[in-house]
Amino acid sequence: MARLPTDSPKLIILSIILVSSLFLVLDFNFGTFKPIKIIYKSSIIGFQTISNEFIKKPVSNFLNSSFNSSKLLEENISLKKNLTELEIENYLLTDKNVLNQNFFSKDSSIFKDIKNQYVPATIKNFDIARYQCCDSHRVFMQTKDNYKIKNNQVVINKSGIVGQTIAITNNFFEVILLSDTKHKIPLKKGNFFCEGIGTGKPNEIYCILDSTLWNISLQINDMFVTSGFGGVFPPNVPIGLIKRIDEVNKDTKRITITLLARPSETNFFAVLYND
Amino acid sequence: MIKNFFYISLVFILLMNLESFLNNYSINIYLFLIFSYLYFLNLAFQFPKLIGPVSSFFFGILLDLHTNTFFGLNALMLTFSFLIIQYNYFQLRMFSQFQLCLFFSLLGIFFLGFRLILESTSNFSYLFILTGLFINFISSIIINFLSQLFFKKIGLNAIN
Repeated sequence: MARLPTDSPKLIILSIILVSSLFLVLDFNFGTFKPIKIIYKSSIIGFQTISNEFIKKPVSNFLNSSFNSSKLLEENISLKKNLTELEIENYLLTDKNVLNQNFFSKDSSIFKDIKNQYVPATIKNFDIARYQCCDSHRVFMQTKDNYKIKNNQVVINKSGIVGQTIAITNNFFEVILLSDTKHKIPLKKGNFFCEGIGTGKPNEIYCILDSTLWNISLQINDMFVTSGFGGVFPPNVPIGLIKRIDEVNKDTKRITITLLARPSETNFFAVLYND
Repeated sequence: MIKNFFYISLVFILLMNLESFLNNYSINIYLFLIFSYLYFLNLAFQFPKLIGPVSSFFFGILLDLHTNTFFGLNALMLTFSFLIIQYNYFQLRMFSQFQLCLFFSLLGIFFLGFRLILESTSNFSYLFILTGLFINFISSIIINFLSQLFFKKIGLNAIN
């Protein structure tokens, strides 16, 4: 064996390599360390929120006050937030027939009190680099009044459905985006039903069309909507347009769909009630 | 010793944050920065008595938590990198700074490649590897220079 500059015991090196490999296999196959990662992420977000509130905000307010613009800035932020909330409400109202069908409780009409149909949420952590490069597309969010979010609640922005909630901690929750490779959404186009699987690329999902089972001709820019199977997503909500149709083999086609709602277009989202 | 290790870890954490902040922008031009890994390679080469397998594992776990990747991936990669540097320590000592930076950037390519293969299985892009070689070399030179200044500042002398 080669001479080492230090006296690192080989047994320790070997055991560390074995432990690391074991960790990797466990996390890769079973997601064993997911809770630890979420606790770490939540504490980092909490720390960032506190430092923003007590350090960044007062400092920027102080700096801005010298230019007499702090009020304008605050007003601008609040107007932007209100505008996005109105845009989300507008989306809900536009698709009222679709969303009202079996998603909202039958007793309360969406027109009566739209504000009671969703909880506003803001992004607390969005790793853009991983969103652009990698298969995992996740966002950490927080609701306005720390409303208790449950698993599998639908998250929308002003353009449509962006994903669903998966991991909940005390103050934050994780949202898996439609483009995540581990996410599947039941879709349909006419009489053709398929599972929209995330490609890992921003704003893209794909469906597999087996022409021995489905006799349908699809065109570029055809709209796919949710089928409502599974009970998480309401049926008939527009999801995306066909971008490309690739032939995998003689009978199978891969349909690439561009999503209508881009998660990076706004900071403000809404989590829909599902009771 | 503990004080020095604390300072070194602090810089490592700062570099982790800096790289994840910059990656949000650089990813659009297919650049994936790995400052913290290159800094670790510098540490492992310059202070073989301070950086052992346990601290490699510790830095790796920190990186795993921060980047939200599979637990153990960076720990394994950093421990292997530590081993490679340890086993070639006396050959590397004969290298010039330029050659060292080139060697570190090549190690960085392997690190980046393995990370992207596991994290981005469906969308693995060779472009990240190609641009990575160039950007790693440049950042390796900068980090090498800055880390030596930092080590001098905190009174940590490399074993020569």
